[in-house]
Formats: sequence, C-alpha cells, structure tokens
Amino acid sequence: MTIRKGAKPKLAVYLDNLLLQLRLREVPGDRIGQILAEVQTHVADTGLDPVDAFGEPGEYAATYAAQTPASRPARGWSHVWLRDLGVFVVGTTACSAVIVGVLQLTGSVHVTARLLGMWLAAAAVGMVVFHGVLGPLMARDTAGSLKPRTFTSRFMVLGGLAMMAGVAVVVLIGLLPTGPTLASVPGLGLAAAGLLAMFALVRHLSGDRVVDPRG
Amino acid sequence: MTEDRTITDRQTQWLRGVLDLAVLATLQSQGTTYGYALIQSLTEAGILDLKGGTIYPLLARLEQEGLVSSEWHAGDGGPGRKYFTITPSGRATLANGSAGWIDFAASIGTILRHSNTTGATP
Repeated sequence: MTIRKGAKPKLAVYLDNLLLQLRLREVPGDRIGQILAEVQTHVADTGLDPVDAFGEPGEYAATYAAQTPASRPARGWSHVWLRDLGVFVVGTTACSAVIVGVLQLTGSVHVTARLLGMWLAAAAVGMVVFHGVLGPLMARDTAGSLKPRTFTSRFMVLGGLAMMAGVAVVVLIGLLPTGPTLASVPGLGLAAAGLLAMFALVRHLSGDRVVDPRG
Repeated sequence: MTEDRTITDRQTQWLRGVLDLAVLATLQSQGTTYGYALIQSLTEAGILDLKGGTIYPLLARLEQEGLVSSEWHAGDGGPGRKYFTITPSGRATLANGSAGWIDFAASIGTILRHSNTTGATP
C-alpha cells in the first residue's frame, strides 16, 4: 500500500511504528489501512502530535487488537502447534527440495532415505526449541509482559530455522553413508515441487495486504 | 486542585459507560459527520479532553456492531475523510440506551439528593 506521509517526519515515524505494532497483533490488513488513514487525517485536521492524540503506537494498536476478532488468540495451543508445524514443514521441505532437486539434476548427489529421516528429526527438534525457548522470548511486547504469540514473530523464527535446515541438508549430504537411493524421484520434479510450495507459502503469507481506503 | 482532579477522574469513569450513547446521539442530531467534527461537538457539549485515541476505536466498535456506517470521501485539497452515519439499528440502540441511562441517572440523583438532605452526623 501507499500511505501518503505528511510533511512531518514525526507523523511518518508514528505511522510506521503503528503499522508494525498492528501487524504484530495480527490486525487484518484492510483494517490497518483504515486505522493509518484515520490517524493521518486526524493529525492533519488538528495539528496535534500523534502521540498526544492517540497514545504510543503499541498502546493504540492494542486497543484495536482487543476488538478485532481475527487478532485474538482465541485458538488453542494444539491449533497453534499444528499451524506452526504446517508452515515449518512446508517452508523447510520447499527449501530443501529445491536445493536437493538442483543437486540431483546436476548429478552431484543422491538423496537417501536416511538423510530424509534425519532431516525430519531435525525439524521436530527445531519445533520444540522454537516453542519452548524462542517463542516466549519473541512474544514479549514493549511493556515486557507476555503476550500471545503472533504469527509474524513465529514466522520470523521459522524462516530462520528453515534456512538453517536447508544448509544442514547440504552439509549432511557429504557426511552420511549412502543408503537406499530415491533415484525414482526425479530431481526436476523435486525442485519444481519445492518452488511451487515456496511460491504458495509466500503468496499465502503476503495475501493480507494493507490498503489505503482513500485510493 | 486535588478535588478538581478527583472530579475529572470520576467523569472519565462515568463516560466510559455512556460515551457510545453520546456519540450515537450526536450522530443522530448532526447527521453524517467525521471523527474530528464529532470530537468538537462533544467537547462543546461539555465532554472535555476527548482524544482521537478514544473516539476512533469506539467508532470502529460501533461500526462492527452495525450501529453506524462509514464511507470515505475525498477532501477539498486535503486528505480524504471518513464520514460516519447512524444506522436504524444504532437509532434503536440509542433509544433503549438513553431511556436506561436517564432512569439510572435519576435513581443515582435521588440517592445523592437524599443523602444531602438527611446528611445528619451521628
């Protein structure tokens, strides 16, 4: 979206921070566009400092998060775990599939069943580490109190883990003894499937766009 | 000074439960209007220290509940504004809520007046 920024840098900074805080609280994109436009219009009308008129960005965002059903952490832990697991598996598999597929195409590697097993085990360990240690740390808000975990913060961690897993696959390829090969899986198909999965994931994650209601 | 502060704090507490009705009433009497104009009207009516951070989330809630509708219109040379209009459902809510508040305020008034007239010391 293009939010028209006023001449005052302070307003621009406020809008940027508010956008971030609303995103972190999973307020829907179309709603965020309305909120940012309201702030901008009100400040233009009144000439007030945005913090004086609306409070700190985090506090103001929390007001909307409390009244936006989609932003509420109403889902149970099992749902959160399953969703995280789904994103993690798709993301990691896609990265690995592209790397391994390309290597297979060039004839430089054979994917082994043992290798895939180890990768899945690493993914499971990553999920435990993520939920047990990194998740709560990243879920702290500016006031220092624990808040429900947000998808955005989770995905930042998941993205990092997915990249590490991809690198680990490449490293492990050189270390493992050769097991039963999966020669029947064409490298091209693997790479294409990985790319498609990554594209679908990115499209899914970027679907909730912030739109300026003023056109 | 401290007493003035206490009165202001009390008014803030009272307002929390009735600001939605005051907003609906203003929209009903003024017709379609935008956020800042609404704040100005409420301020002129005696509700002081209203901020954008209070009024816009309230309007959003009223819109979610179907009590007001909104539409963005282009401004004259300035940024577009979001205009709010009370809906039929909002009018019904205002009618019910107003009657309830007036009865409630009257009951509290009776209690307070009674305590003033019978305020004998033990």
